[in-house]
Formats: sequence, structure tokens, C-alpha cells
Amino acid sequence: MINRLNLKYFMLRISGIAGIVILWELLPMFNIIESKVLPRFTTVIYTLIQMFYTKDLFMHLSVSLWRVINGLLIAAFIGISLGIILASFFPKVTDSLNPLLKILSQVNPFSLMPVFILFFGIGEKAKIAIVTWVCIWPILFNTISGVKNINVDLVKTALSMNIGPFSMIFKVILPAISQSIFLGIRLGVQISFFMLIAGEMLGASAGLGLLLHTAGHFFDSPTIYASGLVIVILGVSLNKFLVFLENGLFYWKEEAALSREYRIKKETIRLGKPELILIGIIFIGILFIGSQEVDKANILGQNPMSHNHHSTK
Amino acid sequence: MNLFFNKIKGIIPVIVFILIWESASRLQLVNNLFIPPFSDVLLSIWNLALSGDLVIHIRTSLTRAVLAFIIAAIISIPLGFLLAGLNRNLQIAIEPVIDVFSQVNPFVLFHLAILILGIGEPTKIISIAWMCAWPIVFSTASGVKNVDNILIKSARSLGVNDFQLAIKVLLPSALPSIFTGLKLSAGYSVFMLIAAEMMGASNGLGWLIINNQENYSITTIFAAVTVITFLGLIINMLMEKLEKTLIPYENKEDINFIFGFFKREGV
Repeated sequence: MINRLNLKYFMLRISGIAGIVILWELLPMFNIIESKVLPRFTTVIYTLIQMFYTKDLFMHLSVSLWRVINGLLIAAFIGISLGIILASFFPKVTDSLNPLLKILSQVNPFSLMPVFILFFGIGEKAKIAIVTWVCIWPILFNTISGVKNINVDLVKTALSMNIGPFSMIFKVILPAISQSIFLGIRLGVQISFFMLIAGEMLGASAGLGLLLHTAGHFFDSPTIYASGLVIVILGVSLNKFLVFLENGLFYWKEEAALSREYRIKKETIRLGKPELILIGIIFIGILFIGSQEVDKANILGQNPMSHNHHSTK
Repeated sequence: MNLFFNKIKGIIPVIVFILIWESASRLQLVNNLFIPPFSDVLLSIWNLALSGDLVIHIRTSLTRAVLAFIIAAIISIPLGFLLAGLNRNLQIAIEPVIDVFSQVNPFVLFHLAILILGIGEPTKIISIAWMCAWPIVFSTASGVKNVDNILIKSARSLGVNDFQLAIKVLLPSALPSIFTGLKLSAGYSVFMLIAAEMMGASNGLGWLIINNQENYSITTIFAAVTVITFLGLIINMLMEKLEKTLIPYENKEDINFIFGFFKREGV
């Protein structure tokens, strides 16, 4: 039985990734693959670090993050409030609205991007609108399903204590559905980050997607790989952060038992009020820094290879 | 009468939505230039269909999507079996690699593919296939992992080798999970198809959208959006029908059957 602490297990686990990194370094070095197509791993890392200075990577990073957080906040506000009001006070209407909402959520966000760009122009509003549209559907659906699956006893107990609708919503319903909402937020962030990169590729003055697209346009392989790496790492970190948040907030959740694998029980950090306040401060910080960077980006002007020859506001 | 009304109940909000759209646009409640009336959009679809353009676009788009989906399925299902652990050492080695690679954004891959292969059909098909492959890999792996242990043990006790085990026991047991992944991927294939076409194509539904954005012909854009949504819904319906025919057996217990059994016993 292979145990987690076994050296052989450890070596096998890193063999895949290590093999790939080694190949990445060696294949271009010995010119088996042209370095135009696959630059050396060290070149890519070097370019990545350089991009912080030459191409102002920090600005693009914070702008992208800022857009995601902004869109997420708006979508969460609309989605959660709409979901709670619809599902708690008009359950039958919600049931019949379900097909309509499903159809609307299936509308391809990519196809809506030009619509939003035509509506809002090539500015921040269009990108935030796309993120909001994409985020709203998972949040709305999960809120509605959360309300539907509320333990009726909780509601009945609260009603027997004669509480009004506001207290009902904020003290009973919201805490009970918070887990579902969080799942919706997680799904929303994943998809919307994805869409944001696409949206920035189609028309933006700053952002990680723009970096990638410009590099692709000029066939600058190290930058393509480096910005791709940044995008992937950012996506993965966002996801892992949300999972960490979820495990910390809902620390009572037990992992489904995987019958055949031996798992060491992980120590999860319980997130209490001080930690949450710290996270909230970080978010506000990102919003603040992001908005400054966005202003800076807009002052710097249009991107060098604009597809759209429209005039901006 | 009640059953009929239950079926209709879902359609009513859709019709109401369309009516609101139409009236709001015609009465200038929303700017006519930004949201054309639904009837205009339908007219635009009709014109496109008459001129034969629509069929060409749909055909090219669908070919790309279906081809990419099939390629993804052919590669992912065996990979999923591998990930689930037929060969334990291989599974331990591959798992981190797949974890990392599954997070790579298809758009990043799109640009890499342009670098290597240039802008053409293979680039688009590879990005769509990449996006479709991962849900299939993970749902196959999870389906195989959750096969009832007793089935495997009985098969082994009858003396099957690995390949027979996979084909005769694991595959049918995991088929519901695999199909869940396939349905999800089918949706993703249309999703990514539009993106890939918007960024580097000269025909197809996505190209139609981006091309008409330059001309500000918003009616055509809406028409293409409606056609794409419709296409997605049809593909979903087809996949569900396929699932019903291929998987006549259900792994879940049928509550109605149990109740019926009790009824017959006179309990």
C-alpha cells in the first residue's frame, strides 16, 4: 500500500511536472524545437519578471482583478437579492420562470460581448457588464435552489417567534443559504475570469488579455508564454483562495469519503470575524488600487492595435 | 387538463418575455438602435436563411464544434480511465500534470496554437477540443472511481484481465457519469466555438457577430445570438435523447417501483 509519506510516492508525484519542466528547458536549448515556438523555461521566467518593469504587469494585473471584483459585487448584489425575494415570496412564479431563466443563461456570453461593447463603448463599463452578466446566472440559480432547500423547521421556528420579514431574511434565510450562494460565487468567478480575458482580447486598453493578445499579434513568444503563465496562475490562485475561504467559513462541512484512498485529515483555518475583516480590507484595497491603475491606463491611451476604429468617449 | 397546463407553464414566461421585448422596443421604451424588436430579429434570421448564408455559417460552425468534440471525447475517455487508476504508478505520476494542465486557459492555448500552426482550422479545433476535454476527463475518472467495488471483485474472481474489466464492467457502470461530462462538454464546445470564431475566422456564426459589430448592424448580431442560443438548446436536447437511448438502465433506485411493489402486496 503506497502511503503518502513514502518517498517513492513523492518521487512519482513530482515526476510528471518535473519531467515537463525539464523538457521545457532542454528541448529549446538543444534546438530540437525552435525557440521561436517554445522558448526556454528560464527565458520565460526572466521575461515574466521583466514584464513587471517594462510592460507594467502590475497595472494590467490589478486592472483585471478590479474588473472581476467589481462585476462580482454587482452580480452578487443583484443575484442574491433577486433570488431571495423571488424564491421566498413568490415560489410558484419562480418555478415557472425557471425555463426562461435557463434559456437566458444559455445565451453565449461571447456573442453578447459585441452587444455590450456597442452599448457601453470600449471602456470599463463593457468589461464589468460582461463579468456581471456571466456571474449573475450561477449566483441566481444557486440562491434560488438554496432557498428551496432550506430546512422548513428553521423557518417555522422563526415564524413561531413572530419575526418580521426583514429579520426573516437577514437572520434566518441568508445564513441558511450562504453555502449555496458561495458555491454560486465560486462558479461565477471561474467563468467570469475566463470571459474577462476573452473580452480584453477583443478590445481593451489594459488588462492581462490585452497583454496576451498584443504579444500574439507581434509573435513575441516569450511574452505570450509569460502572460499566459500569469493568467493561468492568477486563475488558479483565485480558485484556491475561494476554496480556502469556503473551507474557512463553513468549517463544519465534511469531505465526502473516498473509499479507496487514504487521506490525512487537513487542518482547516477557521475564519472568524477578524480574519474576515482583514480579507474585506484586502478587497477594498484591490478595488482602490485597481481604480487608480484603471485611470492610469486610460490616460496612457488606446492600445497599439485596436481592432475597432470607433472613437471612444 | 392539469397535465397539459403543467407542461405549458414553462413556456408562458418565455412568451411574456418576447412580448415585453417586442413592445418595449417598438414603443421606444428602450433605444431602438440598441435593442431591435424581436420581429426584426426574426426577419433578419429569415433573410439570412433565404440568402443561403445562414446554412453555410451554421454548417461550418457545427463542423468545427462536432469535430473538436469528437476528438476531445476520443482522447479524454481513455485518459479519464488512466486517471482513475488502472495502473497505480501511472495515476500518481499523471495526476499533478493533469491538475496543472486542466487549469490552462483555452485562450492561452489559442495564442500558442496560432504561434505554432497559424490561423486556420486546426488552431480553432484544438482550442475547442482543449476546452471540451477536461470536463470529460474528470467526470470519467470520477465515474470509474465510484464503480461499485463488488462488481469489480466479482469480475476479477471470474478471471478477467484489465482490458476486459475496463470494457465490460467499468465502462457500462461509469457511463452515466461519462455522459454527464459529455453533455457539459457539448455545451462548452458551442461556447468555445463562438469565441474561437470571433478571434480568428472568416466564416461561421462567431465571425458573423464580430463582422457585424464593425457595421453596427445590431439586428444581424441579435439574429446570430438567437441562432446560437437555439443551437445550444438543440444540442443539449439531442444529448439528453442520446443518453436516454444508450443508458436504459439507471443506477439509482426507482422510488415508484418500490411503492408499486408495496401496493401489490396489499400493504
